[in-house]
Amino acid sequence: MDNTQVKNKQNLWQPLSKEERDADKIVRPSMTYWQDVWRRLKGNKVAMGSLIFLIFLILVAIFVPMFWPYSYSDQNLMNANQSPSAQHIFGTDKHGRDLFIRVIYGARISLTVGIAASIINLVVGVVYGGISGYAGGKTDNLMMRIVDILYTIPLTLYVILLMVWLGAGMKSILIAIGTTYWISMARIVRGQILSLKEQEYVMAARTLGASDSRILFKHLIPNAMGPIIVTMTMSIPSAIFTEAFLSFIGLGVSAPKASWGVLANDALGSFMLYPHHLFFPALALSLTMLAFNFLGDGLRDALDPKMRK
Amino acid sequence: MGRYVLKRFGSMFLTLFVITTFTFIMMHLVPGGPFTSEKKLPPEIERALAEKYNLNDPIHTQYIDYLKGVVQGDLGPSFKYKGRDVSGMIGDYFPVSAQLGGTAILVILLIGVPIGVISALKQGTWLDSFVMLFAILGVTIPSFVVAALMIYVFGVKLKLLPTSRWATPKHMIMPVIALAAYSVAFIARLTRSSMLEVIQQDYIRTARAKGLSEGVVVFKHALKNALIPIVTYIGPMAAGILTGSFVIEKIFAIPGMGRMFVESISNRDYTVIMGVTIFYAAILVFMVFIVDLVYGLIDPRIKIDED
Repeated sequence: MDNTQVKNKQNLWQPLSKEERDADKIVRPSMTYWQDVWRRLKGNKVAMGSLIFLIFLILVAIFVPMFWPYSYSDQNLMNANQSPSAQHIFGTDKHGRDLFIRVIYGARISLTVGIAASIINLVVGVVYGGISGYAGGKTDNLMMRIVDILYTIPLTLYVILLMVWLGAGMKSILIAIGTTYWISMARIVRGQILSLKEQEYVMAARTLGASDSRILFKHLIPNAMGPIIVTMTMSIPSAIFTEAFLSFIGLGVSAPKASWGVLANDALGSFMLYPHHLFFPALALSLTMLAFNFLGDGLRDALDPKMRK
Repeated sequence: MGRYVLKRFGSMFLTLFVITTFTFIMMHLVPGGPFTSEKKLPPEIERALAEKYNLNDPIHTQYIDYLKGVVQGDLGPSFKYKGRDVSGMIGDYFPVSAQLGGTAILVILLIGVPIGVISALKQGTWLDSFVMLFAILGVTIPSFVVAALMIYVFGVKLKLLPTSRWATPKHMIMPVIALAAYSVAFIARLTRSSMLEVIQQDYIRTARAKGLSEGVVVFKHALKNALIPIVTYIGPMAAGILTGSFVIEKIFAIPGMGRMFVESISNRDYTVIMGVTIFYAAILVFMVFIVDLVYGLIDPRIKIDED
């Protein structure tokens, strides 16, 4: 072997150029499921707009009453029924109360009702559906039979009866809505758990000696979180709707506090003369419903791209 | 099939029994008697009233008496309106509500379904976007806002339509629209998505390949299958119409059962609340029963013999 040959051989073994070396490298950091969901959600402009609107609304509802010159209960009969002006940007109601701050307070109440009632539904529904799906067999059968019967009962009527029994007020509304609307959540959770519990990681966990409640709450329910969150986002507007409906038939929170439903109900008597009394709470209510609906749709698409149509 | 019907029929009665019992218990748990009011009644009168309405009987006797009454269609006397009984009141007010609700259901089916079909067939066009915008607005705007807007525009400003009461067909237009708006929007969305799904199926392609006209493909092959989810929505729709009527009848001052129910709630007229709840529940449970049967009939894939 002469020298040139050796040199040639050495030339055959060139180091890879940097570009070629990096071609197979995984450049993007690996994303968790939730990061991926967030990325997909961010791409959905309507859903993101809704999310920003809702966050803005919550911040306004929390902070604006702190520095607003009027409180929701300040009456000033000299200024009753004013149209929107620089002093009262939404005008005043028949007791001369500033309508803007009342709508903001209405946001506090309506959002609290919507979110708190949905959380109660979530807890009850997830526990009920989770146990039913995980236990299976006779327990599942019995628990689902009860749900079937409850499902045929017109729930709104029961919310009304509960309200009559408990008396009007915020606590009653939460109890009434929270204890009745968990059924669809329970059904969805049960369906998820039924399919998830056959997965290998559940068997692995069981083999390692995990207790039933640990498997249920640490393994199964976190994996069913996608549909649970979507159902919950969708149940917030229906809770707000129900609260508005209850207020409207006279079973809502009591004066001087007012939810959007109460404001709309109060405005109804005089809205032919003062349409802005109805317009602002109705607008706030409708925009919030829209936002929650769009956000729910966006979340569903983001959490489960297969569902997208 | 026969066994299935019987079974569903049985469970319908079980549900009604549960509802009646639950309603009875709840209304008897309400603190204060039916005659508790701001004006304190003399004790003799209170005793006489309690005697008259058998309120001194032990609770289980009252319960059994009430059940017997319900079976015979007697829902007891009204505590507020002396000399009236609940069944009679329902008889007076229900026809108006049934007229309102029935018209609304017709409107929903006759407008919502075609809108959804058209929107699905014209998917992606401006017409489709317009319909979907309308559908989203319809689902998010509460019915009392729709009603108020219409009263303001058509009743007050344009003076085209009467704003209250229930007399001529003209009086029906606004209440029916306000009551139907939500469900029209909902059913249009439902029909659209269901239609879109069906239209992608292979058998639709086959039908087109056979050279069938577009009308036959749409109405005979696609729509028939696309309607199945809509049938299941009829139960919730009836419930929505019913609770919607509480609001709508109040706004338009329609002398129907919804307004009577809302009034009885603010009067705390417990027997009326109880009786009307049971009556409403019976209607809805019966609707669900019918829907279940129809569902089993139109969709052979549903195994109705199952448990």
